Amino acid sequence: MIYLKLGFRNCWRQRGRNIFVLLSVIVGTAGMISLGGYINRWRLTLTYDSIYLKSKGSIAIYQKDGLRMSKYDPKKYTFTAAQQATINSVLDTDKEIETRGKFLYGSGLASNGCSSYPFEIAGYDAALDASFRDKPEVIQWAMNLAKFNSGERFANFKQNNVVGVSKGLARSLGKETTLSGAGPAAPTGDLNEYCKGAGAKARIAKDPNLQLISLRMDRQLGASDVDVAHIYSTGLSMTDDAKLTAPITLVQDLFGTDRVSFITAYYKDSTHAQDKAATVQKALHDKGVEADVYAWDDARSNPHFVGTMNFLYAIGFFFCVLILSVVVLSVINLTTMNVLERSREIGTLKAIGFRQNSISAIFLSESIIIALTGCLGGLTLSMIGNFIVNALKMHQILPGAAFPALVMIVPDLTISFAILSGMFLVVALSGFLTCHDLAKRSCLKLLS
Amino acid sequence: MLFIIACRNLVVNRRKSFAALLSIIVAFMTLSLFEGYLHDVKEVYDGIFSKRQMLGDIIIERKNSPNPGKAGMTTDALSPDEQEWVAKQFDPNVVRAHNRFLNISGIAASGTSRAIFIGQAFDPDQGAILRSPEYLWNTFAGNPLDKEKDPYPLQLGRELAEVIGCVPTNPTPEAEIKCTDPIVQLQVNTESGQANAMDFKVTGLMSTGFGEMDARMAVLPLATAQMLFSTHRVSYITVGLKTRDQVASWIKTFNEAAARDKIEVSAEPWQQHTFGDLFRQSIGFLMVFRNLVISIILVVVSITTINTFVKIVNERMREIGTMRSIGFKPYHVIVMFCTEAMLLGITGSVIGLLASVAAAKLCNLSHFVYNAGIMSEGFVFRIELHVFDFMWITGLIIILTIVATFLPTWRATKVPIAVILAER
Repeated sequence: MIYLKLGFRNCWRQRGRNIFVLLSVIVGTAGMISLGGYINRWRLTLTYDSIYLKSKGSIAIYQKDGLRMSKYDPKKYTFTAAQQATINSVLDTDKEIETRGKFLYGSGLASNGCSSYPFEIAGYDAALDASFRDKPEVIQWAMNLAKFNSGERFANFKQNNVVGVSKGLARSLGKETTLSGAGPAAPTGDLNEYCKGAGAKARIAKDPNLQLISLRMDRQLGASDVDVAHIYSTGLSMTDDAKLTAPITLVQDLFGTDRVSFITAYYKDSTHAQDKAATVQKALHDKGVEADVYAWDDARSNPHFVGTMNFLYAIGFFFCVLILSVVVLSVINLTTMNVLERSREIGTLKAIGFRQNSISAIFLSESIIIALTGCLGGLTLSMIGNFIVNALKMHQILPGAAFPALVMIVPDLTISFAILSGMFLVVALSGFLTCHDLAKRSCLKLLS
Repeated sequence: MLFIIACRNLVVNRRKSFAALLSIIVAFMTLSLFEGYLHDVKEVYDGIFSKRQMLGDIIIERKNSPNPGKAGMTTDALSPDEQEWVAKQFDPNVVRAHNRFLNISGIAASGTSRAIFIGQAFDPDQGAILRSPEYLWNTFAGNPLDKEKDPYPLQLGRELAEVIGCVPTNPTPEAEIKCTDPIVQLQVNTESGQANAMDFKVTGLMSTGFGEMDARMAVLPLATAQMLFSTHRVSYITVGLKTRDQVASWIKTFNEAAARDKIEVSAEPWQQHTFGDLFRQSIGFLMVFRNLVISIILVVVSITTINTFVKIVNERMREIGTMRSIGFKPYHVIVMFCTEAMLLGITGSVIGLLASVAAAKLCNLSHFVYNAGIMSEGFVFRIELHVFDFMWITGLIIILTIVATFLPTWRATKVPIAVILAER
């Protein structure tokens, strides 16, 4: 207790010098917490985007090798109705599942009546998609990724034959207008006149109608007449060329099937998705369904999330090490100067009987007080700084995103605690070790 | 003389300045290493887009194209007359290579496998020049188009090739290709909307670096593709100049000539084109990190430096008083201390430079590979140090140390001489 009292008193007495140490620690701590908060913001965005908007679910269940092959060989790599029933029966046993979705991939040709372009289509449950877009977490963290360039979600239309068209494909097809913005349909009796006559470009642009042609699973040609519900962007020009989305019922009609490419399950808490995926895979195996089950953060099914977060964590860790190095050097420097100036004080303490351990204990308590004050000050500064940055409502585009998102700093509790603990330990130890080392000199040397 | 005094003082007070020196060294290293990393990221992107994807330095396409870089075989693509006009603008003394591209798409069918393809056709020989030297051999199995003798060669992206049933025979760069069915039929719609198909032999397997692209990429020689699609158009033309300094002036001259001759084409650097979206977004994202970390590091170094020089100045008040009493003006004192600070900054920067070079060498030797989001291949973590960075970082640190020294020194010169000398 006496050491603590002495520590407090000394800290207060040396406050003119200690303020510089504190400032270094405060700025360093605030910087690292804010950096962690910045990375965490993007983690939240990518997490909710992955689970709810990019069809990863909490877990996704594919046929064996279906992740890679279901787009190219749907007949072999999709689940039959019977298999879907088995999968649903396995998922029924887990009460933590909030909801589940089903998806069907395919490919074909899209035509505007004049020219045609290949497409890859993803069919999903329109009502479920709408509910995900209205989820508070999605609105809060992934709003920029849920936006359409124009048009409305499928659930807003009564008709089933609507599609979402990626920006690049819409441009190739000359489509600019969606169903909700379209006027009366232009007469298309004379296709030659429609495609090549005067005003053809404008006519095609105003017409939201498309024809989809595909090879059905029974190897017959399938076709659907559809309207553009919305135009969206994948975020990258290289993936905007050939993507369509549609209600799964439309896609199943187009391919003449009731099969699905994969089924997703959404848990209330997706934290332990890896364990759940392993459990479900085993349960399906036991029931005779050989499936690949992926958690939403599995690198095989979600390389974008895993790659981006690994990159951000690596950068964040690298910077934290650098900031910590600079702060520690500052602390050592300033502490060294402090102790050198207090040589006589230390010598006097030794001369009147204080042992080395006691003196070390005093310095340790001083270091702890400075470290604690600095860390708490850093936490406070970061909270103020974060509030200001969040209030400024600046925007930034994440690589691969179509629209900018709000720049926000949202510290994660665990990471912030780790930063505070690390900084506290490092500052307290470096301060203490510096003092301890310098104070080891002989009484005579200290006093002379 | 002040400079000599400052040098002497720096050596005499080296112990007191040591920790400040260390802070400056670490700050210099941090800034230069991260700048070096940013340079490497830019070079990697440059290598991917400029060389691997043969964008060169400049993209020429239809002016105000509604779908930049994605023109098919419509009037948005360049006609033969326009291509001829563009070719006349290429001065061989300035232009290293130029490549014509045609965007192609359709269905690739082989045996029982079918998949859509979205790819491109280009001039193989010009493409080889634009890719050289790093990506001259741009296949991991089989041959690049410019080396291939087959009359109907086809290159496929890694994942599309697997779907079609073509795989490398072994994981070495000299691997051959083994296909379930060696002939792949490409089924397309021509420029006039007619269906057409041709058989090709898979002669090369490639990777673009982007998984999404590899799943659909098919590459043909331009002449063959124009035959398949019954067209003479090209979607865009890329140009590589002999020296990059000329890009802006070349573009200006080209665009002026196009406006003068009423040719509806325009040129721009690939970094500003839609193709460069990912590049701009990634660099912008990294800059946020850079600016945040620079700010923190500079604040902490400033605090350390201020504290060091407050202490140094306070301890040398008597020296200041003595100097002023023998005729040194206050600004002489300020200049002397600021010179000391500047020399400390320079010393720290020089040591920091050497340490940065050593650290960069170690990093580059480690060949640490990391994943970067949407790229399908890992990046090798490298640091590319530039002399210009050393210069501006040194300048920044010198300014920082001078500013940190100025205030305590100025305050010290305000104290009357008699008071300073009487205090001891």
